[in-house]
Amino acid sequence: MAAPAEAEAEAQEFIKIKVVSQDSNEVIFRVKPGTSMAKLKNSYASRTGAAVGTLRFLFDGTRLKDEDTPKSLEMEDDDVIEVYQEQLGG
Amino acid sequence: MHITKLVEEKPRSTSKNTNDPGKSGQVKSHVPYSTQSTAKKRHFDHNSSSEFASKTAKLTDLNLAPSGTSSSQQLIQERPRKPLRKLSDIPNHADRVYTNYGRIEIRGSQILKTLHDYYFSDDLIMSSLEDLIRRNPEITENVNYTNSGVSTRLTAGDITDFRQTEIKESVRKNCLNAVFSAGKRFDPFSKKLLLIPLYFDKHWMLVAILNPANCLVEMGSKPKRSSAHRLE
Repeated sequence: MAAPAEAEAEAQEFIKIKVVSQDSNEVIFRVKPGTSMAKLKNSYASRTGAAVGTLRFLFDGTRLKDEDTPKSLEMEDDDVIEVYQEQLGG
Repeated sequence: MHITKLVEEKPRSTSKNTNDPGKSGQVKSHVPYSTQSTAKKRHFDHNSSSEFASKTAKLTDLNLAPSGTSSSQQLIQERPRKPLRKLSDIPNHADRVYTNYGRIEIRGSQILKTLHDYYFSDDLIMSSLEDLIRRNPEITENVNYTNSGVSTRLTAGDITDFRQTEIKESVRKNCLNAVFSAGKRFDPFSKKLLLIPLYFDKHWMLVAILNPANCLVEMGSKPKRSSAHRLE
């Protein structure tokens, strides 16, 4: 009886965040409220095979910094982080 | 020998000034009596004290006299200088953060790209735009701008055929995505000028919408053609 209660408590701890790229591909992450965004960025970059420096992460129109956390950004379940490739132009 | 020369020079310089008919009166009036007397005293002391004479003689022989200007010039000229660095020699601090503009971090790699390829990254464009707007409080009050992601959303997919009279479904979808990308708190109609940095076909452009609030049309009413670009 105790196991499902613990699982529920653990599930409540985590937040489900969608990371959507320019071509509308979605990657879902389950993160703790205190997890730094640097960790999320690195794991997304390693998954997609791109360098972290060439990716831009935006949440609600604002850029994500490495030291940000879901708690500091007041993120909720199913919130969306947008990812853009670095744009170089002249 | 050096001392005698030095001693002789001083009275010469004063005599020159006194001989000059135009300046003689001025010189006499400007030079106070006390300094003249001290000069005379020095003249007397230098001649009399043999110790001081020997010391200064040594200094002048070594070319280390503190009063000489030629020796100091020589020192500056002879100072070794580092050779000029080439661009290729500059170490690549790609991950080092140079400056922050709001939430945007400018790293070394972005600066080096502008030097080498003459390309501006979205971070440099956005930070410079933010810096320009934030510098003047009057501009901050009246100008609003979106992030570069908005233009990416607007120009996504096939939107090149502008001749069509009907709005394409893809364009409609792009507009919705762009609004979402700008953020929930972003109000494009709140200020007098709206700036959208637009990236298209490897070129940076800036879209400026004057009085964007005039673009709003009340449901059921006919839109005024001139309302969108009306200046107050």
